[in-house]
Amino acid sequence: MSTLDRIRAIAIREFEVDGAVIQNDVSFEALGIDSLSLVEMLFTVEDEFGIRIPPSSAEKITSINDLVSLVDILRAQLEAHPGAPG
Amino acid sequence: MQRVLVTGMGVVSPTGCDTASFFSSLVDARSGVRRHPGDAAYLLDPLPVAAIDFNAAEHFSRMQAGQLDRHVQFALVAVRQAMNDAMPEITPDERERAGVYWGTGMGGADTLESAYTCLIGSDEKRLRPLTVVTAMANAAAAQISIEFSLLGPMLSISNACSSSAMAIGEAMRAIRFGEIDVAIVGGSEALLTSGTLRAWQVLGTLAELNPTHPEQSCCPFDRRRSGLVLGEGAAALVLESETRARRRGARIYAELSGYGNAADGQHLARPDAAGQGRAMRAALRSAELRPEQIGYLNAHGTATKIGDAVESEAIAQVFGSGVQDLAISSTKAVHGHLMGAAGAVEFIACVLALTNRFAPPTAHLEEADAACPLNYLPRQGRELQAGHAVMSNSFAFGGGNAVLIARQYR
Repeated sequence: MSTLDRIRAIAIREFEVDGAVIQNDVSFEALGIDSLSLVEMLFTVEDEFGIRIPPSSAEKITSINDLVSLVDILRAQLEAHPGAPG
Repeated sequence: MQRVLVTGMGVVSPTGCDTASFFSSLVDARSGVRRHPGDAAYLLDPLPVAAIDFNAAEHFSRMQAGQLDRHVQFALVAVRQAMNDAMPEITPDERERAGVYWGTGMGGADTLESAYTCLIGSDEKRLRPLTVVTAMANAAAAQISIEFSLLGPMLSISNACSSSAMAIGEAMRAIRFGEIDVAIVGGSEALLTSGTLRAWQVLGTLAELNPTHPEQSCCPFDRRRSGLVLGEGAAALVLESETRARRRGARIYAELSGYGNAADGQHLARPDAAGQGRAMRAALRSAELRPEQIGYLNAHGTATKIGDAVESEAIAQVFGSGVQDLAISSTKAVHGHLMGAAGAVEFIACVLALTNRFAPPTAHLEEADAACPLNYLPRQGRELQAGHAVMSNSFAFGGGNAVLIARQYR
């Protein structure tokens, strides 16, 4: 499964978002996920991928695309330095 | 001064999740108390509790439910009932004169306990990021004001067992003195977690589990009473000024005509008849009623040894020679002690007693106690005479006493 597919699965499962509308460039606002719900979403995404999203990066996420890119970067860092942020 | 009217009610309780089934449970003495198996990890012995079989998914999306403590979920469901009942049609320009006054004792106890369990009991220590805003004691009032766009005063009152009675009373004052025109009021509580139950158990005020009939473990004013039974739930009312309610042709349940609030100033846990009496007399003065004009009193009646005896003494002092004509009951025998929600739940019981002209009984009262010699309606309720008002007593740990009076609106 791609990163997008796994994030889409979380959005559908945890936030009851319609999967069909989740595309790379859609904003969380358009999905009906407000700032507080996004914090919960990032918490779940961290568990899903075994990563930790730094608060400074979290602030910049507004769309699915932002989140997918960030998750891929953090996963690549984790593979390069296993066990680092954990 | 404005008269203050009750135009909507909602309840989420161990004895029914709508006002009709709630009141029929009280009248028929159908108990919502059950056996809790205890929790060895918390050294919690089996005990009676009044819990609600509540399915959050029927009322909230998963996203919403995850951000609402259990007591806030109860609160919103009760408020939605009350708003559907009253249909107050608050227009955008009325919002600044619409308030929310809400009571809770321990607020987000459920969320806090989950958080501590996660920190202490799991290796990952993955604390949920919204723990603070979910657990805070004003979360219910805040969520109500957000859901219904109420832009006037928002107050959260935490005064243990009298929290929601005080919330109702303070809103009554704000409407009476013209500060606002409409208010959503009430209270909610959800503290049946292992840690909180254990804390109550070690305090030594909880009822012993009746081994053969757990549902009868709470027996107020009975010689065999052994303590209170903790419950959970919420109750909400819509209060409106007489001008507003009449202008829109609202259905009116009752007039909220009296509120008394007085402190014992004595002791954290031992109740005081003088303080309770001051609160009852203050409520009578506020309602401009004489004691003999009260037909039914919903007692605080928690079923602790000392509490019931002290309240009996206080009622006898206030009502004097006419006390034997007064119908009194404690409905906690069947719905348990809802703590921060207790005052609102029991005030609704009083309003329903008034509209149904029937005073519900004290369930499980079989052996009268000489220290509680009043007319406590053992197991059988009785008709309420037309024209009589009703009183609800709420007395808290810490010595905060609140008393509400309602009467037929004419």
